[in-house]
Amino acid sequence: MDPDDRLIEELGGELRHSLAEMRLHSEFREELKHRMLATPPSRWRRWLGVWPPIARHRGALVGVAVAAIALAVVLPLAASQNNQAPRGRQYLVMIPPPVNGGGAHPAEVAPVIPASCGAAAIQGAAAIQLTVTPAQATLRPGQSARFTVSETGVACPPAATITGPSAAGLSIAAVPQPPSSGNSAPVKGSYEVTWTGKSIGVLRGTKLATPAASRTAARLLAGAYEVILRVPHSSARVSIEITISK
Amino acid sequence: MASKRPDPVADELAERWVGLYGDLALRTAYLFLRDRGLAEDCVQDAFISAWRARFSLRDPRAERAWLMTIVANTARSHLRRRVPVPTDTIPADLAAGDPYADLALSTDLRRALDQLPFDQREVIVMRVYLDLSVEETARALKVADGTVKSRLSRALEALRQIWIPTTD
Repeated sequence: MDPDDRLIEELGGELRHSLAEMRLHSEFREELKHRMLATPPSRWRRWLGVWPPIARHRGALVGVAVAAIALAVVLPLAASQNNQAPRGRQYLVMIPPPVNGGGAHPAEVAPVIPASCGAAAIQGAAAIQLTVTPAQATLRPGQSARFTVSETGVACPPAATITGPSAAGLSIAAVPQPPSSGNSAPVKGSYEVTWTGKSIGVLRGTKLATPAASRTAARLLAGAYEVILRVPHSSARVSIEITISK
Repeated sequence: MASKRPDPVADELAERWVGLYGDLALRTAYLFLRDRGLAEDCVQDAFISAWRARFSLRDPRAERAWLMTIVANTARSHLRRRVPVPTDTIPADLAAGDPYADLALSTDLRRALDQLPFDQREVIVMRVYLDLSVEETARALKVADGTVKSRLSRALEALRQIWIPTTD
């Protein structure tokens, strides 16, 4: 046997063996199927796939069509949707802007934050409360603070809140600074989100709204930010770590 | 809220895709992304994309390769848009974390895979793990057949320097 073929066989065998136990969780499968069935097929793809003259030159035509659609429709639509709050359960932590241009400033979070189950109303049940600890932390450039958000109260109806076992998403949206904060010196921030003790970095679905001057997604200009975490129904604890650096 | 009309054909297809290819897609995504959570996100995105585009699949026999290609491309785009996290903010136990920690791979093989450039790891996953043909891999990666062969050859050469198969 050719040495390369032998190595391919052995490597393939070891990879398959070592991955054999890795499986999708049953709840993930169900959620995925529901999402797929809720997603309509792309009509133009269906049309392109059926009409033979188009199908033969599909690559070029698809490229032109996609570019045109993106410019004309999708981009403005996406820009407008960036301003919409994500669906699902939301935890909010407010990080106020630095005082007097950088330096130490408090990162305050409300000790108890009322939460809702997305658009679904809870009938005859106590409201959910989220407890954020520590309630207040002081951040200096280079320092970080970790906030733990825990939930008490009733569980949301699953249909209203489940977004998939690993579909927790983080979005950060800049909110207007209060006039009293003045023109503070730019303080750049970076953020770290941990999920059940494991670093998740930035997840799918992340929307990061920063001023146009700041093109680096991981860098935030000074300002007040809403950190919105969407978590799956089955897990009620998340932690947020935010580091401010100059 | 009005419920949508059930579509038995779509139900069956979704069931089949998730049942037949779900685990394989997860493992494939994991080999690219080296993180279980990200791999699940990737599978979700890839399956939704594939579902939307399912009418563009003209040859049902190519379903597996087509779907895994979408998974691979989705994983690549996830890697591209993944924002690097400043290392000083990563807890020490995470920073020192072992990629492929969820796998029962030998240390040497983990190290070897980790050291491969992404384009070579990509070819290893597609040719060796998924057992796609040179032509299928080339089509998926949008490169020439010869490029697939040369990348695979370089990847195998690099692996040989580090990894000695345990089964002989």
